[in-house]
Amino acid sequence: MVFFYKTDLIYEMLLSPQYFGPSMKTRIKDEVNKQVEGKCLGREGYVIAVTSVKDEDVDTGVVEYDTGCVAVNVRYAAILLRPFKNEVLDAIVDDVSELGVFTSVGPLHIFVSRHAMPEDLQNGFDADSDAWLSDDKEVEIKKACVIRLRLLGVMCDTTQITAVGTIKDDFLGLISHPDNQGF
Amino acid sequence: MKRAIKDNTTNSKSYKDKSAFNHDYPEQSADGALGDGGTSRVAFKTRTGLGKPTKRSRLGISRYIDDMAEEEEEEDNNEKLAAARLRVDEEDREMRSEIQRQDRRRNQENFFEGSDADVAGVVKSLHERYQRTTQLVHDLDDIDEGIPYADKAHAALAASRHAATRQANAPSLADPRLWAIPCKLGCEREAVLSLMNKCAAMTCEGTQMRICSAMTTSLRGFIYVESRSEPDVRMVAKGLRLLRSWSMKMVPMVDMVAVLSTSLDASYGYASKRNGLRIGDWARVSRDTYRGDLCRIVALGNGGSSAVIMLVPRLDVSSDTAEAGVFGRKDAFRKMRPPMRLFNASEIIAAGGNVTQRRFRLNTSAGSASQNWALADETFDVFENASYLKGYLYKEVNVTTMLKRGGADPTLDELQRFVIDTQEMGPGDNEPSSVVKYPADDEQKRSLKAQIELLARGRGTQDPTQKSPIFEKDDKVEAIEGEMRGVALIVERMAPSGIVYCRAFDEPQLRGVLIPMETHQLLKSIQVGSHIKVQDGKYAGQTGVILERGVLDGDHVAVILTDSGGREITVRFSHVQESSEISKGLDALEGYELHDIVLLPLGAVAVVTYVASEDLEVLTSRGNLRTVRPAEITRKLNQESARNISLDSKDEHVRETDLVILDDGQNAGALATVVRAHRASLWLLNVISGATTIPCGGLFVKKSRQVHVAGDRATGSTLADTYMGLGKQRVVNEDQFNNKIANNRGRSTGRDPFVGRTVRICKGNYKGLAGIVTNATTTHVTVELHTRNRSVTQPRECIKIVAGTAGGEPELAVQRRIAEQEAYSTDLVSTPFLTQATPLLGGATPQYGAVTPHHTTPSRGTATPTWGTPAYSSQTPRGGPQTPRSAPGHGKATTPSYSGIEDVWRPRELPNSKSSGKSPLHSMSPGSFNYLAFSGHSKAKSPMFDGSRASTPTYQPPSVMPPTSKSGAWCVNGAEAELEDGNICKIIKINAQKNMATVALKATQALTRSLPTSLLVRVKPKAGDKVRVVDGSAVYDAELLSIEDSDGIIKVDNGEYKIIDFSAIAKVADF
Repeated sequence: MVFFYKTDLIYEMLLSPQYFGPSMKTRIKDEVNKQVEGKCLGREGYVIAVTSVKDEDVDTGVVEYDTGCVAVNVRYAAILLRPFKNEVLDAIVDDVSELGVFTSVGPLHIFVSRHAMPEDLQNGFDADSDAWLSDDKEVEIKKACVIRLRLLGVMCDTTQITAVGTIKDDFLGLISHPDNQGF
Repeated sequence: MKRAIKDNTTNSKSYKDKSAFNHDYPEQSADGALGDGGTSRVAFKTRTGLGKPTKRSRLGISRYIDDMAEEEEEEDNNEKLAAARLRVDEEDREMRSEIQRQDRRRNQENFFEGSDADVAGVVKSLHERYQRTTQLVHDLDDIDEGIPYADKAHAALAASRHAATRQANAPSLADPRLWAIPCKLGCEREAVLSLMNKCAAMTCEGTQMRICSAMTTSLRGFIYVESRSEPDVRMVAKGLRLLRSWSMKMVPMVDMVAVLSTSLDASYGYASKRNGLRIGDWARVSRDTYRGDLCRIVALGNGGSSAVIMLVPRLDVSSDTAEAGVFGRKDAFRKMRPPMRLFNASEIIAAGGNVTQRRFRLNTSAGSASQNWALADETFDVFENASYLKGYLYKEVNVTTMLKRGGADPTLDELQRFVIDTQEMGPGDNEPSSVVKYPADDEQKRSLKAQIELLARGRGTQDPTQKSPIFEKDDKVEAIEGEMRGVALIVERMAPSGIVYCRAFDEPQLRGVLIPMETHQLLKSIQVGSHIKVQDGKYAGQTGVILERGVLDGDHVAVILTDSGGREITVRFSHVQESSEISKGLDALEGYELHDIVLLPLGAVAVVTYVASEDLEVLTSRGNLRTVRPAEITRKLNQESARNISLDSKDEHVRETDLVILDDGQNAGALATVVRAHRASLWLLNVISGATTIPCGGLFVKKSRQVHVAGDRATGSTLADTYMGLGKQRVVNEDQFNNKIANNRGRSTGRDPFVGRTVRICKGNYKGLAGIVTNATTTHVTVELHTRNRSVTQPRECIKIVAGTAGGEPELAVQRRIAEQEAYSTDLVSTPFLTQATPLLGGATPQYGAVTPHHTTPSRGTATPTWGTPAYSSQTPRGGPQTPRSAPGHGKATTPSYSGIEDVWRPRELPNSKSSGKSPLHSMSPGSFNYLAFSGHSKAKSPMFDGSRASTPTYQPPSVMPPTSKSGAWCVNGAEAELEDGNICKIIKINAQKNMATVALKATQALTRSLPTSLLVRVKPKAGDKVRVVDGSAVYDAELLSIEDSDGIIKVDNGEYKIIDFSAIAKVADF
């Protein structure tokens, strides 16, 4: 359900002299993978995976006078997770509180407030079982459930993206429960 | 305004001027009786004078002059002619109007004086005279009352007419001027009356008083006299005792209108303009005992300068009885204000007070407020010159001196105090019929209730217009009322009249059209999910995300999830502004700031996590979040906190601003800063960016024993360092000292082994004295003597560590060891096999008593070679960004002595170290290699390590690129692990070089994933589980018998019992 975006990006890195040598480029690529994957790049979104770093994409570096490190620009292609308002996502419930449900889609955290739940769920927080129960006890949202939600708002920070979602609309809500075998 | 005199004795000049004035505005004078014909003539003449027809009817010689020259001359002539004609007209008109005026005067005199005065004629003429003005007044009224005009054009017309008519009425230079004459305060009216009498008397004598009028306005201490010349005014004012004519002043022309301006709600008396007080209003007392108290105005007098107010009394009954005399009473008042309490006559009498009954004390002066008061004739309880009725205090006060200016803004609580049902007071009271008696009172109560209801709904008592939302240009708004409802608009501009002109947002057919809207029809358009800041109201300053919009009691509100603390608040929409700002709360509230450590009642200590507008959110030392008001706080403990030193899990000093690493909990290995410290509690702040959404703004509480200081010392200038003025030098020397002298003693930190020890001085003046080492350098130590209250510095050779007794250990460590010993003995009972299986235990016990050189430093423990290198300094941030959870397990598994003082002194540790022997375990196992390398890396990442580590080549880091992440020691094939998302999986394959593991998910076993081992979290085995154990390089299967906090006791499949570090034990996946 989640849409990813593929983009070309540039990573600027400092390479310590100890890595200069034949395997330098491999090292650089490893480093790009390690440093960038899973990071949030502000508005660009979360880097899910670096798909390719070609040899020719590693620029010639410049030695810094003070440290002896080499500053290298690396161009790479990456798959990004960039949430948009009104996007519908499947999210896993991380935590449940009386305010609502905290969910995540990979690195993205989405909060579903109780106001954004259907009426029959809205007052259904059960503190004993740490779950949201609908009036007819049919729906139970607790940790590790998967719910389908629509994003109401997305806030992009430099280090993280947070969002609020709703499950109030049609076709939204619980789609799999950990007890009934899901994913 | 009162016009006492209207001087009708006409001054012909005045009328002449008036007519001239009228002619300046010919279109207005059209309906005037005066100068009518003249005007129309002028208009006509002007037209003919300038128009073409004149050209044809040229006169005189000009007719014969040829055409070329004619043009110019003709124009010249034309102008001259026109001017001449105008002049003639002017004279003509003046004469005519003069005649008319004279006629009119004669007529008038006839009307009023003649015996044949025709009443109808008088009425008609009066009507004609005032018709124009009344029409004007009507227009003004309409506009001032804001009666909306049905048609816009009509509105514009009315407005322009409004302006024009105002202008027309404005005084000009030709009009009589006003003089303000100071008069005795409060006697303005009297002065004007006496002035009138004087005028009348003088007229009778035949002397004309050449003034137009005299009047008094709401201005106290002055009267105004209208006249054309100053000497006339002086003459009139001369000899009047009440007037100080010598200091009179002429009112400047521009202010003349202001003098006579009246507010439209004149029904409430003069004061309404000045201070806006009305009967039934709330006010606050500005001085004395009742300072700041809310009062209700029940009557106004003296033109609003005095008022009868109703208060909730503050009577101190006890002080009255105790100090019945007048003496000392004032002091009592000064000291403490008695609480608000309704007056109860029987109580006072019981307390020995004297209560009399009489009517409300009537102020003798005319115009007193009590004269206008219906209740003034009731019987009041009088106690100490104050009148009480039904429990309330009634007082006549001077408005300007006793009441505060500005809105009273009563709170709900205060208003409630004024609602005491008559039923409540009635039966017990002397006046059972009070309900019947005071219908007005009842009404007041009803309005009071309405007010309270309003307030309860959060509207306040101000009229709603005052709080209407203010829009700015380019604000996105939404129409919520009227025919445009639901349309998104953008504010273009805001007219002062309260009309907002908007552009349509996305309606193409409305492009370029400005839509006028009223403010109450508009609402800021902020969508659910947007991040906002609260600008006003109770929650001003909070930021958060809108969760829901709705209507609550007729108000548009938004439910907001706050950024700090994750609370839900409901705020009015008009108070909300879109913003990406993330609030950390207010700066301070009554002196309490964010992260202040405060003492609460009952000795609780807490740190402020959020400063709201009325209260503070605090995190107590027990980890509870509480909301307290500043009044509840006893005092701040910031200084105490700054002085506070507690010991961490490595017996290092921890204090404020230190960077520490968490030892346990779900964030074990995470870095945190000590914000505040109190005894053994530390308030820590996450050193992660984006901590804003974490509750309490990232602040949490830990015991100091649950953390350890990162790096050698977070701050170089510790007490010990600065004490002897050696500072960093000591640290550098110490490393040399370690290498040369310490015989490879395991030294992980810069702390000298002597520090904190009890020593005996064996040479010199102080020979034989014992003391505690407070500081140490390579050559000297400072010893605080037990016997004398002083410290001495001695060469190292001159001191000896006291052996045998507990004095040989740092004192805290001693205490803890005793506790340890007890724990050990219970262990022995519960697990008898220990004694049999590990005979080494017996050998280990003497450690408690006899201090072998190795064991003098318990935290370093059994010295494995690796301990020589500070790689194993306890401060390596084991987690690092990639491996937050598995890291500590690893550390414990490979370096048994690493786990701290408890473990060292626990003999159970020994089998483990025995199995690995003294072999350089760490250099052998790949895990430890990684660990070394990793720690090097993480040091490079945190600059604070670099300085202190510069001397040891191992740590020559700055490897910007980290080597591969380390693997958990428990990671073996077949082990059960948990992924970060909570899924259980089984490790199928381990690639030690790459630190990658292939896992199969429990749910879908066919699916395998390859991922770094750092992402795997060990599933903690339970007693009885089949486990797989990594012991050094050996891996074997076993059964877990029991778990002692950091160790697991296992029964190996070959029947052998072992004690293994629990973190090295992995559960065998049974799927």
